Amino acid sequence: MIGRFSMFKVFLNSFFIQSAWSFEKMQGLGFAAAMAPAIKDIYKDREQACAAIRRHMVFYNAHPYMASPILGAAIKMEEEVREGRRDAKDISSFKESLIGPYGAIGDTFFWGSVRPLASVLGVISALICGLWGPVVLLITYNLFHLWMRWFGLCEGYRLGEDVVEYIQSLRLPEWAARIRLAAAGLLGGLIAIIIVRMFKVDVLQKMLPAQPYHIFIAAALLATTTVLLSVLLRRGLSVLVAIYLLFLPVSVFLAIINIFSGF
Amino acid sequence: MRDIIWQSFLSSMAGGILSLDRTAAMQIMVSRPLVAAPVTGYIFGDVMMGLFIGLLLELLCIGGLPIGGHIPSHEIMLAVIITAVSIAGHKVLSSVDHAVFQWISVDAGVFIAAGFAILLILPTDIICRKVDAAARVLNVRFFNKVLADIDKGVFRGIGMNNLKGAAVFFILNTSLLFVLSLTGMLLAYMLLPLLPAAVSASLSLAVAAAFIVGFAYGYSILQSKRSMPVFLVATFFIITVVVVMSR
Repeated sequence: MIGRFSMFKVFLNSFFIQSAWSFEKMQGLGFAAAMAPAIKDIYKDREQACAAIRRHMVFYNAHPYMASPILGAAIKMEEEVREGRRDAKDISSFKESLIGPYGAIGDTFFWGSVRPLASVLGVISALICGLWGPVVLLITYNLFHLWMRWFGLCEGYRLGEDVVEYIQSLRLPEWAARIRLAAAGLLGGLIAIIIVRMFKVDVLQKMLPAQPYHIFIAAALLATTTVLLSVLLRRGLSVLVAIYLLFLPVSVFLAIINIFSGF
Repeated sequence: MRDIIWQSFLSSMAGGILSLDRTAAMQIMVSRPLVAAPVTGYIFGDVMMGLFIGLLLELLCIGGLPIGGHIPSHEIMLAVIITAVSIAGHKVLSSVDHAVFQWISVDAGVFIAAGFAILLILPTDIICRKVDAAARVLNVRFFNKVLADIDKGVFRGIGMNNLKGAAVFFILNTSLLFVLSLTGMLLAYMLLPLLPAAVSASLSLAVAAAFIVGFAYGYSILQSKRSMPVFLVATFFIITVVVVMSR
């Protein structure tokens, strides 16, 4: 058993798993650095420790948070190697087999679902409560993030190779779909809030006295534009080009009108 | 001029530290624009402008998945530089009378300055990404150093070499932030007073365009079979509730 302090150091080091991210070895050095306190604890002999850390000095790349269960399991497997109950090659094949799946699960769940949810919640909170927006973003996101970092590591260490079943039992891809749906709803809510605020803060009222149907028309227009433009963005139109394409024709048109009206 | 240089230095240091969160350390999302832009705004003495830029860029950078070797938009760099340039632009515009915007009850200078900053700085994202890629190329030397040490039987220094990678990210990001924010702010001070009123006023449309593209980008990231009804129902349900309650 490795000590609690070593386990905590592994947990802290897991936050730096991408510090020396390189195109060639990706998180290879980060993973080895995260394992180092545990390896020191497991192997008292320096040569054995070097041989163990050498096993982890290879190409490695998964989602940074999903590395925690793998780290935990790898520590457990290193203990079993020291006790002679396992072949050292098992660790490498275990890590290699999980790079693809855990990368995909982590990218979909954290980058593709939790982060957009936290972003939209943060933006809505910023519009309603000002500087609480960033706080809401950080709390929402890190509830999921820190849970995976800590419990992933602990469960990985407790279960060893069986952590794969544990991660499967969490059904992260299904939760990702639900979270994305909730975030889509919140994005709709965000558009509604902006439309309502636009009319409420009197931006347009002097031009156009706001009737309820004006608000509905504005919302319908913005929602339709959002959906149509999203199709173009999904087909490869860049965000930058989209902004310029929306901005330039209208601004040139307005500038010409202003020039000819003698403004 | 000394103030601009000092504030650029401070904001680039803060931005450099926060930028580590993007890849090199933590990933607790303090590098998101909604967090980084208000921090920059605080350094420049205008937190609310930072918050405004932050929420706008948060939508524009909502996607950008760092999958494999792909480097997405450098949201933290954009947030810091756009906030710095917006605040500088707003200071310039506060001395210029924009009669065309008198019908708007909000400060038109905010929108004009933000629009100017967005149009000027967003294209520099490609430079930021190239610098990020350069750091990732340089970092392999630390891996090779540790490997050589281990082969010699030296166990120490693994963590330190790993952190040197983060230092490379910090140095490159901070330097680029300083150069780009200083250049952007100087351009804001030089160009904005020279623009005709009609051109200045039209810059605020860039903010509207950025919001619309931000919504569309967010929706494109979250799109699934069932997202359309949920999105539309949420939009109209909230508007209906507000309209009914306000009567």
